[in-house]
Amino acid sequence: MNDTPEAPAHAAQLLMRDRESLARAVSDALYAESGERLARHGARGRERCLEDMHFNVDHLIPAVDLQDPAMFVRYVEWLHGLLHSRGVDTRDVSRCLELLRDETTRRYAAADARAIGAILDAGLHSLSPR
Amino acid sequence: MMPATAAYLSALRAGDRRAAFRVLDDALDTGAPLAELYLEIVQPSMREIGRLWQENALTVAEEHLATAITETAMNRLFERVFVWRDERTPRLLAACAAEERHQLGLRMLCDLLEMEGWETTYLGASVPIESLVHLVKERAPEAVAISATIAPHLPRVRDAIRAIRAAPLAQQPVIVVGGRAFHGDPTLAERIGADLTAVDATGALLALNERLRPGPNGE
Repeated sequence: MNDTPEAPAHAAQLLMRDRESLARAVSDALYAESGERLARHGARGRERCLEDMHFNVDHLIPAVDLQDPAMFVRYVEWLHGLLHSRGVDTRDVSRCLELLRDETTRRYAAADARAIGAILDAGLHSLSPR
Repeated sequence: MMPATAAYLSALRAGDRRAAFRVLDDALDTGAPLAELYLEIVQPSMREIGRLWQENALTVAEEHLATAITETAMNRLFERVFVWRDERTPRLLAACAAEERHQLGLRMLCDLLEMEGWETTYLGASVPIESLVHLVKERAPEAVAISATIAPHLPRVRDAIRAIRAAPLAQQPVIVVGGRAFHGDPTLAERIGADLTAVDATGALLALNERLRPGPNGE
């Protein structure tokens, strides 16, 4: 499928515009499905989860804008190391990215969702067991 | 790791600024040039501090303390090595991308260029694009350096470069970009519109000298 050259820049603008609501939607979705397990991190854990979702969107934006999956993969690998040393499971990192992909697919037009999804998939792939 | 680097890192981890100053003073007294102190003692130590924070071995406060000590240590070092000159050329204007707070690398570049006779204007952390372009128009530097440590700041670097390129200037400056955000991809700088990039301050200094201070035979 041929998307216009402007699609990545447009998709990045949408992510920038919706940064807050995307981060909250993904954080809420993660707690809706795994709240019992995540409860051990307490209220501070939930705040940090939301902060991390903001961070995910912040790092997704330039990678989408420049259509640079390797840039996002470098971030995901860095994030994984950071969170792993703080007791966060790899599956939670992956799940956040999956939920972000689901949310952007639900919200945006196909061309925008594809530009975003390609980058998120590269990040997810880097976390899958080899 | 060199003994002096290990000692400096140890001083930073202990939050002991006098010990940190002593390490750099002693190294300077042995005749080590500023570039060596910056790139072989200060920079690797600060990278290790960042790595330790990432691994949860240091708190944010401890990481900030290490940065604060290093900023003061660099001020002291530069005071000791600074040489007055009547004329300085070319001129470089240096800024961190909007919202970028990591400024040590850019500061190192400016100090090293000053030692080579350049005139530098160092704007520090988080410079809004409009302010940067305004100053570029006002001062017309031969070079502009923009730094970014993390990827989310890259679109702002690109937008700053576009704004400078679009500004009505008698002569476009050479634009050099650097910082950790550029380390993983050697093509990135060119893709966002920069003329030059380098992995550290010495590399940027060499590239800038080559471009703007060619030798007597034009090499």
